[in-house]
Amino acid sequence: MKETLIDVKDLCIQFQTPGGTVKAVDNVSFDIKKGEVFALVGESGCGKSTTAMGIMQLIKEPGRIAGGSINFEGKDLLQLTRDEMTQVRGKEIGIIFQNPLDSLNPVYTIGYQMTEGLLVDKMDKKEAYKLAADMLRDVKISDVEERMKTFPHEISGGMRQRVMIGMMLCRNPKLLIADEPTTALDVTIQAGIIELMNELRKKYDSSILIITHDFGIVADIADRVGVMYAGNLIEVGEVFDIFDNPRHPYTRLLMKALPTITKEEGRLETIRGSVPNLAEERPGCGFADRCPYARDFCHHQKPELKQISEGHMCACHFAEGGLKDEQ
Amino acid sequence: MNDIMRFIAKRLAIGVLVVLFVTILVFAIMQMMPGDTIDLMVDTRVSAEKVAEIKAQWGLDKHPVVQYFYWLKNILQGDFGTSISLKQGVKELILQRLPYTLMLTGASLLIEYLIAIPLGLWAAVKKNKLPDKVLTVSTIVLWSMPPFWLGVLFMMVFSIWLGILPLSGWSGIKSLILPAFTLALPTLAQIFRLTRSEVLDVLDEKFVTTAHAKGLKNKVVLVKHVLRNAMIPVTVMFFLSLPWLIGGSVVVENVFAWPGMGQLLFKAISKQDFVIVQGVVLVITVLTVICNLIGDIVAGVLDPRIRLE
Ligand SMILES: Nc1ncnc2c1ncn2[C@@H]1O[C@H](COP(=O)(O)OP(=O)(O)O)[C@@H](O)[C@H]1O
Ligand SMILES: [Mg+2]
Repeated sequence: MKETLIDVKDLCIQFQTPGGTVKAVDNVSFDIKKGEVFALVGESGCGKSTTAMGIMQLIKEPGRIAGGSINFEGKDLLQLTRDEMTQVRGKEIGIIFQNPLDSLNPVYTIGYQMTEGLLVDKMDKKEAYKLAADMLRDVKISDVEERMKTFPHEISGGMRQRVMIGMMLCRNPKLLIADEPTTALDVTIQAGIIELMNELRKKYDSSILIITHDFGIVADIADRVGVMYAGNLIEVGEVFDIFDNPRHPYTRLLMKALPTITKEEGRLETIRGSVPNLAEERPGCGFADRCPYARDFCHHQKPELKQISEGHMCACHFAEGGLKDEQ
Repeated sequence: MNDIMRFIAKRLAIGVLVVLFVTILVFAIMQMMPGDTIDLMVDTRVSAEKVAEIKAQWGLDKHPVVQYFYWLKNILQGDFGTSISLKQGVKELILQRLPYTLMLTGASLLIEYLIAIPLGLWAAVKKNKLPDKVLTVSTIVLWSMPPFWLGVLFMMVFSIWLGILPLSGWSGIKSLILPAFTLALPTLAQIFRLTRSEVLDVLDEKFVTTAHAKGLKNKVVLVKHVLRNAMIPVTVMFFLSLPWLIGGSVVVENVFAWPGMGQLLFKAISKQDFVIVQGVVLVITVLTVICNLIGDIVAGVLDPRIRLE
């Protein structure tokens, strides 16, 4: 059994809005082992990005982390001072944002921004430059020497996205969080980037938390999968368990909807109803309103995330008994 | 490089037109005022023939258009003319006074920016908290204070009651303090507000989150990423406000009897001494054009997205 790198426990993240408190992440717990790739999947708006930003403690107003703990290599990140957390970011945990188009500072060159993080690690300037240039080549950017001198507005959106990926990869973080890193990228480049992540894992035994709608990618690199629904983690398991033996009704429908989901960027048209309003109190199971198996008590009693077999957890009242395959 | 030269040349050409236009306008306004310098100077007992003779001597009997071109021709040869009321060369008068005006505006610019930028950054970071609220309210108060009123208040407090600073005129560097602050404070409020709102805008940008995600220290993020971007419009404002400051100093110079160009201009207008008025306006307009041009060039240097064209 491998060592645990990060252990997220009962993480709660809320947004204070005029419409009420949005519980974007509600008691989410999962862990990632060293060298493991953990995929977080689920419809848009179910709290995946918020979970990622929560781990980095980059939640902006009106959001705040309302509870829980994030154990990373023996320390609780939520208890660190601001300066201590600063030392974790980028070096220990790197993050590739969703839609990273405006994520580069318009007034600095690509080279400056690529090396800026490396220089934090007290690296020699020339060495940092060389490393950054090599990284850019790895993310398939041509004329690297030229590119290092250009400004973000002078290169294409896809290229900026790759610069961002390279920027976060080049410091070999122990944990890389990649929030839909390859959406909008061309298929061949996409494959290259997945390959780079795989390399990071092999060379440095790094762990990866990947958020994606693309089950192809999940099958490709993930070891374990967590399924999120309306701010809750509703099923966690080995990638084979999730694909071959999904236990939560939502996961099952998700698997059935596979081809549409990839195309429609995560909109689950095939499941009737829509995601509940996260600002409202939900005493029962968040999925009950849309669930074909739901009974009365599902609306009142919240199912806990329970272990149903070795390494497989599910939050459904029927998870253990099994669902009758109807519909 | 060639592009920049062409840009500068084009802007200078436009600048020359602006200067011409302004001097014509000012000349026309001076002409529209009833009477002229001589009428204001001579005693009522002087005979009409004598007055006409003096006017002819100064070329005031000619048609205004002819007078203007006469003035323009001299200017092009570097001759600013002679003041009728003071009987002194205008160029000498301006050169005597320009350093004082530049000193006053320079000092007040320094005060404004050195105080307003850090305060603006601080207020933005502490948005809606106590420091922000206090600063926002106090700058509104400052902004709404007329400079002459502020000047008189300062004189009362620091010169008359406390007696620690000179009342007026120039008697060494200490004399600079009151007029410089009087000139600076109302504009300081403006720059504070601009800095604050720009910083708030930049703080919302995604690249700031990137900078934090890289593990840069908060101070580094604020200075290198946030302030660096917020400074672009503030710097442009600096150059645009410079000529206004020189204009604004007319009032302050008069309150403090400051021996600068503003006071010269004020007296010249009241005496309808158009040679001085034209000369001073020319200097201010040229400074304005140059400052605007520098502002544009600096904006292009600070913001790679701006192409000079
Ligand atoms: N700034 C915000 N203000 C209010 N609600 C927010 C904010 N950011 C995110 N949310 C809410 O948090 C929920 C989760 O969002 P997100 O984590 O982006 O979902 P995902 O990444 O899974 O698509 C959404 O329902 C959204 O309404
Ligand atoms: Mg997201």
